This record gives sequence, C-alpha cells and structure tokens, in this order.
Amino acid sequence: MSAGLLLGLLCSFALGAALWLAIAGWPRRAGDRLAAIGYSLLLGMLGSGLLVGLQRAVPGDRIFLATLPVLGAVGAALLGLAYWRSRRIVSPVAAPPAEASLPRWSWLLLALIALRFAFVLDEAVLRPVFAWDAWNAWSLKAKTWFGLGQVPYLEPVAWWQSADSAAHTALAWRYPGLLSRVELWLAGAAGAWNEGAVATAWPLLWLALVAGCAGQWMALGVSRLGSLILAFMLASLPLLSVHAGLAGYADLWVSAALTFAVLAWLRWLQDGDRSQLLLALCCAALLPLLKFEGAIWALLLVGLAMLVQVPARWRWVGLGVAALLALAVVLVSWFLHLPWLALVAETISGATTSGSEVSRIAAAVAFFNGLFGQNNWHLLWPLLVACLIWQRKRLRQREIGLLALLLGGGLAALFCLFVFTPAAKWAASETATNRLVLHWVPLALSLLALLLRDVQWPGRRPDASPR
Amino acid sequence: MPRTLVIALVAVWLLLIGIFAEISPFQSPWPQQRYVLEGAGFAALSGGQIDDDALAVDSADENQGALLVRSVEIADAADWPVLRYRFESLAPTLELALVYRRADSPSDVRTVVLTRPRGGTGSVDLSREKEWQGAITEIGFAVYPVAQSVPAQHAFRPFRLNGAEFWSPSWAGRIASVSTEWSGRRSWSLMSISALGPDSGAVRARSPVLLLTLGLTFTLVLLTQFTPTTPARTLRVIAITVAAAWLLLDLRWSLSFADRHAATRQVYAPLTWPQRQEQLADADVLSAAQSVRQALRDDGADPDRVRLLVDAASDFVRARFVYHLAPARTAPLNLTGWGAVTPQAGVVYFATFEQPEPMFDAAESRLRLDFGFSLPARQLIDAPPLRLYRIGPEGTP
Repeated sequence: MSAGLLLGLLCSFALGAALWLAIAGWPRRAGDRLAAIGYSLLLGMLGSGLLVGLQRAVPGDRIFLATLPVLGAVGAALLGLAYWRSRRIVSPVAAPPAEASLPRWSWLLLALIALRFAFVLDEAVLRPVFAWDAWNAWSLKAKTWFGLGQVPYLEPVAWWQSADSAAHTALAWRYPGLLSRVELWLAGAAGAWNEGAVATAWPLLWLALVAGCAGQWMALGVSRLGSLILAFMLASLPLLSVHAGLAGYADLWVSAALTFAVLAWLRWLQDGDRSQLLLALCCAALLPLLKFEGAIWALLLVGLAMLVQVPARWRWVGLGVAALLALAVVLVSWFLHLPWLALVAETISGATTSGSEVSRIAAAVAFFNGLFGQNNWHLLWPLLVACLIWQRKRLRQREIGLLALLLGGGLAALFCLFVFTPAAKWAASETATNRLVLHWVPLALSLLALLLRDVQWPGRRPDASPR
Repeated sequence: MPRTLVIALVAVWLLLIGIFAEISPFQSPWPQQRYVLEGAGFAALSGGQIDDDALAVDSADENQGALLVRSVEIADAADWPVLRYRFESLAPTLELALVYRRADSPSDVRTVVLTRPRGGTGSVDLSREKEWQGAITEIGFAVYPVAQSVPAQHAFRPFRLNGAEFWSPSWAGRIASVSTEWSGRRSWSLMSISALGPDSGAVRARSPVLLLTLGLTFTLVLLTQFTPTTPARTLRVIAITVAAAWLLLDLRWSLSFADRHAATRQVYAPLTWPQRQEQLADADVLSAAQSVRQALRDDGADPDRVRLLVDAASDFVRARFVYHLAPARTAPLNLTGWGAVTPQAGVVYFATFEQPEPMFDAAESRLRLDFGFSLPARQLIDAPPLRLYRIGPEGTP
C-alpha cells in the first residue's frame, strides 16, 4: 500500500468521522464507537467520491491534490459543526457502568473475522479487476476519467450526434457515477491507475459493514456477545466475502448503505435520537447514486418510514397519496426521458434479455435454490425462517415488525422481478438473483439479532454492559 | 436423553446422508472389483518421467499443461462407474479432466472435468456421464490452466500422478464421489461473484447446505417432541448443533477461499502492480488493444478523441477489448450500431477481434457491410485475430 493511497483512505475516513461527529456527536458507548467506525468509512469514501465530482476537468494524476483542499474545507466545517453541537447539546455526564467482559472463547471469533479480512484484503489487492460488471460498468468510467478527466458518457444516439470529441459512450452509460468517482479518488491518491489500490475500498467496506452492524445491534439492545456472534456470522457469509475479495461490484456498497440507513432509522424509532434519523437520511440519499436498485430500496424505505409516521386513521389516505406521488414520478420521468424509466421498461418488457423463455417454476426454484441450496449464505435463511416461527410473537414489537416488513417487501420485490418478468432468465442462469439478495442479507441478520435479542439463553446472565 | 431418541436421530441423519449421496440400496457397501492403474503406466506427451510407481511431470507442454494417457481394456464401462485418481502437488492454478476413447468411435476424444480433490485422492461417479458406456480403449488425464482467472503462462507447476483406479458400483464409491464434490478444491470464475456452487462447473452432488438444513429441522422436531428434558436444555442442544453446522460450512468455505487465494498468490504475489495488470487470462486482448492505440497514433489520430467502433466474437471479449482500450473513445458495435457512419460524419475507426473477416475490398478501398452498404476505408492492421480500419475521407482525423 503506497503512502498516497494510505493518505487518501485516511482522508476519506476523517471526512466520514467528521460527518458522524457533526451529526451524532462523540460516541460514548461501545456500540456507538463501533457504529461510528463503520459509518465513517462508508460515508467518508462516498463523500470523497462526491467531492471528486466537483473537479470534472481535472485528470486522475492531479485529482487527489485538487480535491484535497475541498475535502479539508468540508471536513473543517463539519468539525466546526460538531464542536458547536457539543457545546449546544449537553450530554448527561454519567460514569459508564463497568463493561461486562466477553468470554475468552469469543475472542476466537474476533480472530476469525480478522483472518477473513486479511484474506479478502490480500485477494483484492493482488488480483487485477476481475469480475464482469466491475470492469464493464464501474472501472471503465473510472479508468477513462483517470486519463481524461470526467468526460461525459452519452447515450448512443447522442454520442453519434455530439460534436464534442470528449464525449464517450459505453454499455453502462446510464449507470450512476458515484462509485466510479470513488475509484477515481483512490487511483488519484495512489498516483496511477492501480487496480489493486482501487480495490482496497471493498475489503474496507466489508469491515465497515461488519463493524457498523455490530455497533448498531448493540445500540439496539443486543448483548455484546450476541453482537459479536452475529458479526462473525455476517463476516463468514461466503458471497459477502466474495464481493469483498473480487472487488469492483456496487452491490456491497448498496448493501452497506441500505443496512446503515435502516439500522439508524430503527434506532431513531426506538430511542427517538434525531441524529440517527439524520444518519439514516444521509445513507438513504446515497443509495440512488450507487445503483438503480438503490433508488428502489430508498423509495421503499422512505415510503415505509413516512407511512409509519402517519396516524393510523390516515394511513389509507397516505397510501393513496403515495401511489399518486409514485405515478407522478413515473409521468415526470417519462416526460423528461429519465434513463431509469427506460431501464425498468426494458427489464420488464424483456428488451435487455436474450435467449429462450424460462418457466416461472424454474425461475422460482432457482431463486430459492440461491437462498437455501447453494453455498452463498451458509444457514442464514433457514435459520431466519426458523427464528421467525419460533419468535413470531416478537413481530408485534414495532422495530422488529417494521424490519420484517421491509425485508419481506424487498425480497418479495426481487421474487416478483425474477419470477414474473423476463428477468427470470437471470434467475435461471443464476447470474443476478444472489447479488441483489446480498443487498438485504445484513438486514436479514439484523432481524435475526432483534428476534433473539430478548431470548433468555441457558447459562447466560443478562448483559449490563453499556451499549 | 432416551436411547431410542439417540437411535432415531442417528437413523434420520444416516437416511438423509444416504438420500443426499444418492446411494442405491441394491449396491454392495464395498466395491467387489478394482482395476488398478499405476501412475508409471501413463505416458506424458512431454515433460514426464517415471518415478517409482508414479509419473512425475516436470515441465508443461505447448499449451501450458500436460496430457497423460494409457491404453486400458474395459469391456463395458457400466461395470466400472467409479474412477479414483491420485495426484500429488497439483497447483491451484491447474484444472483436471478425464479424457477417454471408446472402441465404437476411436477417433473421438471425450472429456469429463474432474474436481481437484482435497487430500491426495479424488473420486468421480462416471455412471452419471451419458458418454461413459461401451468398451473403453484409452484413458488419460488432461491438466491445463484454470480458465478465466489464471494467465496460462503462470499456471504450470511440476506434479505427480501417483495412480488411478476403477471401482465396481458400491456405496463406498458413491460416498467417495460425493465427498470429493463437497470438499473439492475450487477456482475463481466469472460466475463466482453471482453464485457459489454453480461457479465451479457442473454441479454433480446435492447440496450439503440443504442436507444440514433438513437434518437440523428433523433434529429440532425430534428433540422438541420426544425429549423429556427442559426447554432450556433443548434450546442449548439446538444452539450448539446449529453453531456446529454453521462452523462446519464455514470451515468448508474458508478452505475453498484459501484454495482460490492460493492461485491468486501463486500468479500475482511475485509481481509489481504494473506487472499484475499486464498478466491477465486475456493478455492477447490487452496486447491487441495496445496495438490499436499505437496504430491510431501512427495514423495521426488521438486514440482518446476519435470515434472507435469495437466488435469481437462475444459480448465478453468485446467488453474486455473496450476496457483494455480505455480511455479511448470507444463504442461497442452492439450498442451504437453503424449509426451515423457516413462520409460526412468524418473519420471513424473500426477495430475487430476474433471476428470473421469483414468484407474489405482492398482494390476499391471499401468496407462492405452486411446490409449491402459500403464505406470508403483503409486497413491499418491486418493481423488476425485483430483488424483495424479507418473509415471515412482521407486527411487529418
């Protein structure tokens, strides 16, 4: 790892940490400290990508130095805000209770997480960008932008018509550019189009996801040991490790942003902590900038969150208004020829698929095989189903019920997409379903965590440690 | 826990394993006949040396692999459905396949991709292969670089073939075959980012994840319905069982990840980062892209400013060609079509890789397209599989 890359990563983390401090203040509890690390890494790297987007004319070899002052200014402003916040909001000063120590064997789980991280980091750094969409969609733009500055990517007809000799086109011309800008930022920090340097972001994001989830689970009332066990379970999931090691896909980013948004929202619902609501909004706002599916998940989350706030007697009216709003969005998008609508239309109509028709049963079998039969998720899904049956009464608790509803909605949307539309071909070929399921996997573990939160395990005393 | 419950649990697990391993109750537990083939009985087309009973292969053939063959006398393949194979020091960058000839079609060579075993010995149940029938006259092992994820020139390492063995049908043979599939060494493929299991070629055994799920479900049912112990004790037993199953699966995945990573380290760890980006499984496409960029410069064009249409034999190769050409102003032909390529549109370049030769009329300097349309063109590179044309009026691009 070069000094430049290390500096770039540290700058990103510092930016994210400043944002956390400005929004949520200094983390005082163990759960908050872990969550702060996770959120800072995600928000910092994506924030760096956003700031890189302000320097469109600068080529890659100068982008780091050109962005650094802006990043410094934003970071300083956020730190100022954090200072002002700390003066204005006086936290109750109470000596934290003595922390219950973890059993000795549990350190083995931490060691296993560290070992897995070392493996995925080494794999990501050593192997040049490998997986298909990684170079076809995200790295192609980043590599081009590194050489030429952030030239526009146009749709094919516009590309033919454009007199601008800088205008480019590509199969992924309409994909959001934020992830490519994160790659550009890291390549700029490394000083060259170094695919290994760019790839370091993915293992770090994997670590951020594990840390952020563990922290938020603790803050939501899961014991320290329970959070550690669940963090190990999350880190051990095979397809999650693959997305960290074979760096370059957007799905891990969508998964992290969606998970962090939902967990922060749940904390706001549980504790009424407005800073968590703000964090949830920040993470949700990033989703559409990462991938098209991110926009759908953001709408699902925001829609549910708004519906929850509507008084019960107004909910049907609220649903009607939401439906009208959705219709209006579609109409406006159609009128303005926004690319997302064309993508949806092509997917549902089958214009972007090829090959023979696939039966719905075959697609459904392939979908469930991905969850229960293949080596992607260990025993996560059967375990979740069993716990949902076992702890079904807990679904009446607001946070747990809402999380189950959100997860069910997301999976139902994927099931409908992959069974009832021409996208079934991607389910049958097993090329897309699991990657989209990955967006929801940390939330599936979060649901598991909340379902088991209050179970009295034999031989364990209640955990009185600070969360 | 009552003894009958323990017996019931063991019976359920054995039954499930039998079902998932697809064991026929009509076969004998152990193979009645064995047909042993020593490694030294095989001949390598190049680089092989007899070493005691084994065949040591110290150098690669021209395809960066090795082919080890020998004649056999198998009157009916159905009598010998299980093949056991023993290799030593087989690098994680190499794949393995069985090759064989049948007496009824001696000119045809048939292949079955084999799973690299964890430990020295692997097994495959050939009764599931449609072509494994009739009299077999020759068998062999093809060892070759892992496709997609390993650059061929870095794949080979010396190895030994210690021997092979055919077994008559038996439970032991079936269990050995399933064990090899469940625990075998795997490599990265493009599919790995989407699904684990199908990413390693044909799936020959039922899912161990499903086996554990069903086994745990039956265990849970039996324990909750028939155990006289307290719910707390049952909960503890279930928690420990689930944890053990999870750890078992994770051990399997960790070993698989380590195998895949070992291949990455073997190829890339000794290199600097610029060298790594040059050592690719599709280094030929990278080299073609570099030639195109140089040819454009030689033609007085800026590769990143002129329109460059790109086509290739497949979506994958076309997309890789585009990536290697970046930051060139490329357009994949399947996306843009010929669009506005007219003499008035100015100069456009067209690069193809592994494509049938376009109808280029050198005498008239015209490129004839499929739909009866032709454009003035000049050929800049004619080095199959790579070709590059300049389309449009002569002059500065």
